[in-house]
Amino acid sequence: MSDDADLVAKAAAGDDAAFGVLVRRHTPRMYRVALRITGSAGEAEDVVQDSWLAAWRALPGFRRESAVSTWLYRVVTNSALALLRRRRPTVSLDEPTDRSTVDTALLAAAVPGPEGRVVRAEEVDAVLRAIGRLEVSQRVPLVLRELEGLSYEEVAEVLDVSVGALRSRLHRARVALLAELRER
Amino acid sequence: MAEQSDPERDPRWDAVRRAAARRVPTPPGLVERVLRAVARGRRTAVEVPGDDGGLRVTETVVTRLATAIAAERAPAGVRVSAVAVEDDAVQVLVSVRFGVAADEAAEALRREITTELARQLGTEATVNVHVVDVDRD
Repeated sequence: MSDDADLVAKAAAGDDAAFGVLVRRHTPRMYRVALRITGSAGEAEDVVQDSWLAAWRALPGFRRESAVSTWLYRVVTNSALALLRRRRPTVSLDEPTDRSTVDTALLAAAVPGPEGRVVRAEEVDAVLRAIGRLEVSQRVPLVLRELEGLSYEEVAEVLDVSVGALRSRLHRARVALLAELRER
Repeated sequence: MAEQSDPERDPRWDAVRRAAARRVPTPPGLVERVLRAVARGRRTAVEVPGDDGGLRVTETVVTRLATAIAAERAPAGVRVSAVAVEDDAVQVLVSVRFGVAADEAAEALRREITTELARQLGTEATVNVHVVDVDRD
């Protein structure tokens, strides 16, 4: 399997097959990030397409100082943020209006078997909805660190902030997320 | 508060870890759509030669311009459903409201898009308008 950096070099030189390999390899994770940030499957697709167009244009300027995957995380994050800035304020019809007062975390632990799995699945849905309700400045680092599993250094590079600034932003984001989950 | 010092020790954080493990399927055909979009973005649709070099405009840009113009200038009773660059021309698909003279409406829209594209790009592009549906209400 070819190294990402080699594929980028070949793609920048006009090798369409190398570019195709990059797209196939990285589109799933780029879609995942776009979906987690925008909360919309349709918008996430648009973000991924815009990101690859931007990546293709930027290929000749790519330097090996950062990993290709980190660079692509940066491209897709910036595209998603650009879409959120363009988005008109709307009220989602899919947003649940009723908030359960049941503590599903405790319930999931207490209920064994298939029912427990259903509760745990609902709990995951609740977490993803809660992340979607966070301010963008908290949601994005949380998605990259907690859902994508990037290191602090990688997230800091994607967001172009210092590791120290990222750590404090992430701490606030985690506290805000727990507050959202507690309100359910 | 405990969660202020270390939110990851809160029992609810287990759900966050499970959320991270949830699989997100890639929509079928997304990779192919991406590759087509990038190919469109690379193809030059319009070239305007000049004394000191030329201007090259990609299909993506021409499509976006034409889409914006069509949406803005569509006559009453005409709805633009798709715009694409195919066969060296801008192809605009529209539906017309029942009762509207389709040929006149399509021709009016074709002229508007042609004129405005020529003004913005500095060269004339071929524009075809296709009436593909009738809106009953």
